[in-house]
Amino acid sequence: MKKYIFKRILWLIPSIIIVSFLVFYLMDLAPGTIVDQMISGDMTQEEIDQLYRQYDLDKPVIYRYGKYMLGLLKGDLGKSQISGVSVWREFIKRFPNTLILSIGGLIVASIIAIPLGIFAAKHAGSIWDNLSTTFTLFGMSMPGFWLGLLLILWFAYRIRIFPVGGASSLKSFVLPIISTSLVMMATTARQTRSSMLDNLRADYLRTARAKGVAERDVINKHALKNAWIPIITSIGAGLSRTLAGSAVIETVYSFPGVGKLTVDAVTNRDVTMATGCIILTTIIYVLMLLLVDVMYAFVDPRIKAQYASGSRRRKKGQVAG
Amino acid sequence: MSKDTVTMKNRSGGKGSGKKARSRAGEIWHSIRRNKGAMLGLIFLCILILIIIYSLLFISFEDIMSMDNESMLPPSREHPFGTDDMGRDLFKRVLYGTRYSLVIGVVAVGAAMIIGVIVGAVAGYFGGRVDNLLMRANDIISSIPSILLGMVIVTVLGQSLRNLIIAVAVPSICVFARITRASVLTVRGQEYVEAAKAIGMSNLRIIFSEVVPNGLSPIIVTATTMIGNAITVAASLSFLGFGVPLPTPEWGALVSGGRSLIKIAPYLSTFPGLFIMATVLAFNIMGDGLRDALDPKLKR
Repeated sequence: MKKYIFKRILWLIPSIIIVSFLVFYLMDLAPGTIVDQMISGDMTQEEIDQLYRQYDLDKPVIYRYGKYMLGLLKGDLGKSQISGVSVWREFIKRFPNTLILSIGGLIVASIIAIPLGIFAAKHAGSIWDNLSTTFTLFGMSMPGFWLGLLLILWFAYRIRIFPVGGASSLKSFVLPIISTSLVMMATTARQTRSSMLDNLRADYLRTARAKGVAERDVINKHALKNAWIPIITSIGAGLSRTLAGSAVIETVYSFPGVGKLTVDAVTNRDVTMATGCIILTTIIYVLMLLLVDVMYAFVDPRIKAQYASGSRRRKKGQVAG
Repeated sequence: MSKDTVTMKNRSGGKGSGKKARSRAGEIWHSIRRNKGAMLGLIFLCILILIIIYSLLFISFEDIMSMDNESMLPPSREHPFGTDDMGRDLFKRVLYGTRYSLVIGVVAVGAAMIIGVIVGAVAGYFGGRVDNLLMRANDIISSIPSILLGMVIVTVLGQSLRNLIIAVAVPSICVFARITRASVLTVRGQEYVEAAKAIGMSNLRIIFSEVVPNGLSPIIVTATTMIGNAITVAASLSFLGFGVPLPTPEWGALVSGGRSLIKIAPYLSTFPGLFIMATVLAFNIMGDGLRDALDPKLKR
């Protein structure tokens, strides 16, 4: 298990190198440079050349990338080309906001989705099941930015209980969290329902009922325990997706998180800021997926057994033999 | 005599698969028809296609750009969706924009499917070093969140319909590659693949005439739901300002255009958003229907 985690984390290194190369190189190729936006009409050619030299734009891309990577090796993500602030510091300053959105979305989604999915599976085929299926289908199909706008319209302009945007008070987190949670809620509810259905049909549940286990325990102890793995996958995938999708929701609410930071950086051609943000988001994304994988092992002893080292398995075999 | 003709027919049908394939398709069609949701999705898609045909025939680009009307008119009989801040009729703009969302979704996923299936099939069939290399590359690309990757791609290539399609397609390739690889791995060891090898078929032919068709159902189901996803991603990119250049009435761009006016003219972003949601919903329920139809576990 430890070996596996170590290997996965080790794999992050080539990933980061390739991702940083892709993003840095591609952003650099993009038409227009940072200097173009700084040039004003009354600048002399000399001043413009000076600016180009300041940003190493008179040298080939590979030089700038090399310089960037040397910094990265030392753990320095560089400074924003526009505001001059440290990329790392800006990212870390904003990351908690995004994390609150994601975790908040996850909690809201799980609290509603898991009971809803279990309920729908227990009453499969009933009108309640159909209603919940319809709800989840709508939830999955609703674009996040549109839902965000509708929530702003109703709860910030019409009823005026929540602010339009920003992150100044606790209240301003409510609408973004709801927007973040919807898709996760829908996919998790669907996954819970189908996973529970698979297990409710299983023979071991018939056995449990036959030996007189109370219906509530049949669901909670036997069926749910086995249904967890796909549900966790779904939640884990949802969580990493909300991190990635935070760009959209944060833009709608002008929310000071890392998603908005990335969007602004890419829009303004701030190569170092954009590359830094995308690298860091990618690392978090990959670590999150790894966390989900590790969590499987805790939930499912079968998977844990797979990770067990060969020697241990051999020892067990000897004992058993 | 009659027996001979049957054999002949079978032979001309190429391995006798012609008739069998039709009957399987017929079976799938039958179970889709019984699935209310899938039919509803299909009907909505037909309506969208009719809208596209109508808008191609009767709505010109000049029409949607005409600023003859009063600006910010609320929905009325004359302007069912109202008019925007420049006096343009939103109804016409939304109908005109239908083609973009649908084309982006279908073309992006189609292209991603073709490339992804080839990559996945090659990786799964050959295994070993090829598999390792392709799948690692796949892992790396899919580790970048798709919206961020899309933003970078559009920034580099410039804003256009083609580039938006590329931006949506690239992250989707990974999904198809992974699914195809998985299904190729499950069928690779089957006897009929061994048999095909034994009669001297080339690797390429085995992959695409024996292995891929047998792992096709998950790919089709994924493709259908991926179209819905692609439409959402494209609309999100447009909303963020990385879509087709203005004044193209792409739905995501329309929602974005109405964003600053949401307080006084909420209909400006409500209607195009409704169309995005309905289209994505149609593909999602069709995907559900197809999954049920193609899932052997649920048969009969």
